[in-house]
Amino acid sequence: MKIVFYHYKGLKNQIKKGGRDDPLTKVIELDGTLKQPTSLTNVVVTIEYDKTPNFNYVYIEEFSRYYFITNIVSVRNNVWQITMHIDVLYTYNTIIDNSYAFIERAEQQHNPMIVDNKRVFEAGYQIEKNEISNDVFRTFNMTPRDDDFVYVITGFDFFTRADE
Amino acid sequence: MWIDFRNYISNIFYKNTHFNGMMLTNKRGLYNIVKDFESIFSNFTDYSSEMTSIYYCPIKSIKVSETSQYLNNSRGDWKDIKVKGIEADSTIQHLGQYFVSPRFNNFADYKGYTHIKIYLPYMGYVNVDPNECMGKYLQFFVAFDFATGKGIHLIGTSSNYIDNQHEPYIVDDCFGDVRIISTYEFDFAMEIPVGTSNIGDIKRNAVLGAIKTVATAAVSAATMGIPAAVVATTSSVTSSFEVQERSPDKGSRLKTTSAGTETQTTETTKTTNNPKSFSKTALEAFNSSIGVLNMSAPNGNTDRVNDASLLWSMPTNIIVEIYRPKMMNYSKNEISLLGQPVGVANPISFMSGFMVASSVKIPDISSSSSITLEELEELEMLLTSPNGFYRYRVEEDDDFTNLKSFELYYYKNHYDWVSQYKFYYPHEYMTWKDFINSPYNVGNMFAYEVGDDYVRLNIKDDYGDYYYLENNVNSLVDINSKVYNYNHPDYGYGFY
Repeated sequence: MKIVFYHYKGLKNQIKKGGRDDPLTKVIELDGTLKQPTSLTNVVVTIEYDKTPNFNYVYIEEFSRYYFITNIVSVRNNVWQITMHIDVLYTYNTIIDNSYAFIERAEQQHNPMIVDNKRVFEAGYQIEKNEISNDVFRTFNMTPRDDDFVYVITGFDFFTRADE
Repeated sequence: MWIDFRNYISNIFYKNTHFNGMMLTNKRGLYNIVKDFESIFSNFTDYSSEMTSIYYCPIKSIKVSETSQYLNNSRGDWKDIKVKGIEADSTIQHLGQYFVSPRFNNFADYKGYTHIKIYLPYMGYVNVDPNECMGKYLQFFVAFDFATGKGIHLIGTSSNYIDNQHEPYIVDDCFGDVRIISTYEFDFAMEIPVGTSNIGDIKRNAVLGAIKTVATAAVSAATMGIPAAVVATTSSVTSSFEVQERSPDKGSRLKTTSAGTETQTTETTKTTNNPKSFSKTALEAFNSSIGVLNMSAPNGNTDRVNDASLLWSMPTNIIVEIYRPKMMNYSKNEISLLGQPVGVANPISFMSGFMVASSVKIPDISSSSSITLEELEELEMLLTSPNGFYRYRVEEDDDFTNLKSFELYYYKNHYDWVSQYKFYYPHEYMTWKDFINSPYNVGNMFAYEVGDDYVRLNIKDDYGDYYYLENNVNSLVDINSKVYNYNHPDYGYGFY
């Protein structure tokens, strides 16, 4: 059974590992045989390695699965027990690509009209004040100015036009 | 279907007000009118019953008839009067307009975040829903009913600027143009007591202190049940938006129906010889004006005005105040950590970068994969985790290699709100790779699908989402614009 050990320098919740910004660097490739019953989800193997392990990610070709290394135990000189847990995101990345999801937030798409409750606001407001002038209203004067309008309403038939 | 504005206003008043004698004059003219009445009528009762009401009305633009008038009595005596008749007993005027421009171009421009207060002359402050007017013109109209001294401020919205070529007509919603969103009733004239006074009072009031008499009564009304909310306008102006709003019984929003327009505005009733009934409204308007003056005061604590003697300083202009929230902008790092709201149901392969999904539907994989139920459940849990996940295209380098040699020449939309047209102008040159790494690729403008000869872009502020990169042309063309494609000599492709 071939096991490839990598050093992964990226985000654990990145689906597809090994891109430009999260390189997956191969450290060592080992061949071996399982000597005891092993779960596919949580794998424990014992390997011989002549220095302190400098890897953190594993691919087991026979299982077609990628794993995060969750624990490393020194058994004796140059013998290490490696405990792994499956990385379902990378292992099943093609299944994920074919999946539908309701995406609430995204980095590369944005609907600006949706209320964003993670936005940070400073206290207070910026106030814009704009005046719209008009030719209709005058200031209300306690004592009418000479040119202020006064109008009189009269009763029926007592005020008619001279040309009628 | 056009609705004649004037008929519309008549409907608001719910009645016809056809007084055949409505004379416009000024302070001195009123004295002469009283003298004319005195000369043609034999006693006080005769003319005081016919001189129904006298209003002081500090409104500038009232249309008058130039025809000379005469007065007669039942005995056939007549007398010329040197006054002008008011041409119509009601009138409607367009006071102005104001474009409410969005600042953030996102949810923060709307209700709950942005607040809009408007000061209306003789009326006071009112709140306007930003959802109704953001990105539109606020249109201000005023209607006067001279028979009652009542006016109505009408606030509407329109997509277009109203100029001399466009009458201020309102139309039904579906026809665009001006849509009335609220109406507010106010008093624009103060009645000078006639019936309860003798002729000496009328003449003295006409020349000296007519309004002062009424205004004094108005101040007295302050202790007679002025709503607390109105009085509160003289205090803090930023503590609450609602408290400064005019008492709701003095005007209400207009409701529109498919059958036409109906109003909830209270029916105007004529007030005769009862100063208190209108002076209360005058005081409300005055108190609101004090609120305006307070805001202008250099030191609000000490320079604040709170005395009724400043009634004359009441602003006559409309004042639009927009309270914009102080929203922090996301940095690129924050966006990569938090994402921004998108709200779409997509195949995950359509997405890239960081994302948070609330539900996921994984296709039936039982026949084609050795995935266990435990693994499947863990996969669902990770994909719907509130911490989100990342999907970067590891093959991006290859995708970009083919386009790397292109110079991306895109057009930034500059929408002219005044005209109906929009066009794009070349913003700047950049290579495709530069663009991917540029700030335009985050928030403002980003590409989310790349093909051999096209790119789908989402451009903020823009209506068109889909662009494609024309091979060997180095320009982005709005697919929608293909219908109206116009090759501008200076600006290249775009709307025009």
